[in-house]
Amino acid sequence: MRALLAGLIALVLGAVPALGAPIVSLQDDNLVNVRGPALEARLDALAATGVKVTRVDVLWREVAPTRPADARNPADPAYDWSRYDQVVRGLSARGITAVLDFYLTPEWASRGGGRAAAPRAADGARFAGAIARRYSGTFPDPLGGTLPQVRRIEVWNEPNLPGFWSPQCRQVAGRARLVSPRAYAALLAAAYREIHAANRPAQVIGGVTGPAGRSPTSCPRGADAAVGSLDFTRLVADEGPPIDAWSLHLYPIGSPLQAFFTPSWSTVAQAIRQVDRLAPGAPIHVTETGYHTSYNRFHRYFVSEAQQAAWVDETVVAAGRNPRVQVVTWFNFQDNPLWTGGLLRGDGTRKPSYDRFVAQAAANPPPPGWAP
Amino acid sequence: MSRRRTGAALALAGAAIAATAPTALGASRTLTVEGWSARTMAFSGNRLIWTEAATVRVDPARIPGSPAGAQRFDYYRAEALRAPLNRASTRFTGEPDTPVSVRTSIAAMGPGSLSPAGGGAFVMAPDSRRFAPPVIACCSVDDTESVLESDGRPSAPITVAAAAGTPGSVRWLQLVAGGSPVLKTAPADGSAAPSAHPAAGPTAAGLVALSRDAVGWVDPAAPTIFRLQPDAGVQTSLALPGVALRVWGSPRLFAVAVRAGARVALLRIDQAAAPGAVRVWSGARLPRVALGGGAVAVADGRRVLAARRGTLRTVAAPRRTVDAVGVDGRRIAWIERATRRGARVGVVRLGPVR
Repeated sequence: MRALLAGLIALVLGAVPALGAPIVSLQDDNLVNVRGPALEARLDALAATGVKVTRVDVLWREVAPTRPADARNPADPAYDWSRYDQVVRGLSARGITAVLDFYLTPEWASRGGGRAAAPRAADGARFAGAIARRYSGTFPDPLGGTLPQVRRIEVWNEPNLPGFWSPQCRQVAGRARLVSPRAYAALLAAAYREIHAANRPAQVIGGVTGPAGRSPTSCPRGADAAVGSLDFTRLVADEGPPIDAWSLHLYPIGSPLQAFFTPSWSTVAQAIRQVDRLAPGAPIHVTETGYHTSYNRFHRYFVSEAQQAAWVDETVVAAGRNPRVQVVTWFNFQDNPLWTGGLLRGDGTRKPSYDRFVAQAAANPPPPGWAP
Repeated sequence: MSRRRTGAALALAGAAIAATAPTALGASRTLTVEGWSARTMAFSGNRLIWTEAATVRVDPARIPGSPAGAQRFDYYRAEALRAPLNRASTRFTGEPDTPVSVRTSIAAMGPGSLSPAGGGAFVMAPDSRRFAPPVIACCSVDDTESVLESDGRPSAPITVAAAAGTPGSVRWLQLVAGGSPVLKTAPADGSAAPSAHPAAGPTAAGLVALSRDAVGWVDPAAPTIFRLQPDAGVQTSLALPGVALRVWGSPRLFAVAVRAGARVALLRIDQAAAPGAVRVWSGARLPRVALGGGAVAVADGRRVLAARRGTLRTVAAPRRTVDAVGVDGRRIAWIERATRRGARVGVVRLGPVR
């Protein structure tokens, strides 16, 4: 009945489910910048798009500003989950499934580095375990009852980019040795064990690779080079960590159906070949994709608002051409000065892409197993 | 504060630089750059800066490893490049970098406005007939650009001139449909929102320019009158000897190209001496013009001319067409068209203005 209803809505709005019918998801990165009534208002706005799956950044540095005595225990007094409890509760109440990712290393776990410092695998994994335990569906809610269950956890965000993981490389014998894949694989393996120990049905999503094409041949001072997304996937696969699903981020130059620089929709199959070395047939989540509608220094390629709207539809078609792609998440819900790929402008008005997204979300809902 | 995605930006910026890196020769009297793109040049401190705009043809047949079935497509770029110079500005001392790379699939851009801000800094505003390109100040001490204006709405006002203002500030002029042009000013580091106020009268792209503290423009309805409005002072008007074709601006100096019978004349208008104008050059067609450090320079076909006052004199007469010229007082640079192994390249040369 639900599928029939979705199909009818899609016909009315002009969106047709894509061949492989990926779940169409949307992230609002501003959820983690607001609290209280402002957070509820943003959740309402997100729900108004009809989206049934969203991605939420859990900022480790914010949840654990000081080292917990028992990092696996989400009730440790060093943890402050208040914002995320409200987010997860609010999403569940609105029928939206959350995919949680975590990153931003706390100072105490950074070994003197900054917020992008690669953490010790054990520290990161214990935090992943604490997330999984708190949102296992059985953990007491401070407001009464139990907190909702979250079944999908991404390990980190874009660990192949220096803005989120450092160091990426070391200069050895005049060449760059790529060090982030191995370190990330250690975190992924440890997090997998901790998450499943705390929340057995949870799906652990590895990779979450950022949109870098080529890897450096020499490592710059500060090791602030990006490792190519495909190289990173191959090198992580060499380490063999367990996964339940793999994630990558795509911001193609050119339309979704035309672009072929790595990574783009036409190169997803190359990543899948590497993922199959870890877990044959594992689903692929594209947990960030989109197009900017004006220039910003964080993303120098942009399109018109009309192109963005048309390419929402093309994105779903491109994703649907590969049956392994299970989820496609548009990033972001609303523009801010640093990121202009939203469905809403900075002033809250709708771009033409908003209506296209609403149609695609209605046409491509999650299957029953994805209910919050 | 919203989440910052610097990692993705760095990766994409790196790709952009790799895609357009000129083939530099290191410390040298010349520099070789790819293509015959439309370019605008200027000196800033010990750097030569140029902006260039081009269509990028993405052809899978020319890109190793392209997936099967990939098809050719185009996008458009407008970039700023910076090359370091020796103290005398007679040699390049390193390879150019690309601190700003604007890329879009909307429509082609032109190199637009380029205004030096000293010490290697500059203000850049590409132009386009189809959309409102950004206004960018480059760069901070950590080489970060500031995007001062970037509006993706279809109705966004179009920036037609941009320049460095008082030290640490940037000013740009926007055309507003059915209204007076608006002059915006903001700190170059983007630390505060722009202030805006009406400035100039009716005008059009190409017929308005900014100096550090004045707006000079021509009203298309009165194309033989040049108007100058200092920030602090009264507006003055100057009768031109022909219909204005183009207006350029720099600190304390404007230039206007006018139709003079079947020819084109270039008038020099010193802000302090306004409303006086001096004819400094004439030729058969609209030339490429640069102003800087009180000097005027022209690239006309295969000739480069410049002067710090009065009639322009020949600086160079290369055998090849000159694509761009930049000047700053006694120093001048230009780009000649050439081919290397069948590929189009530009040869950047330096020289003195005597």
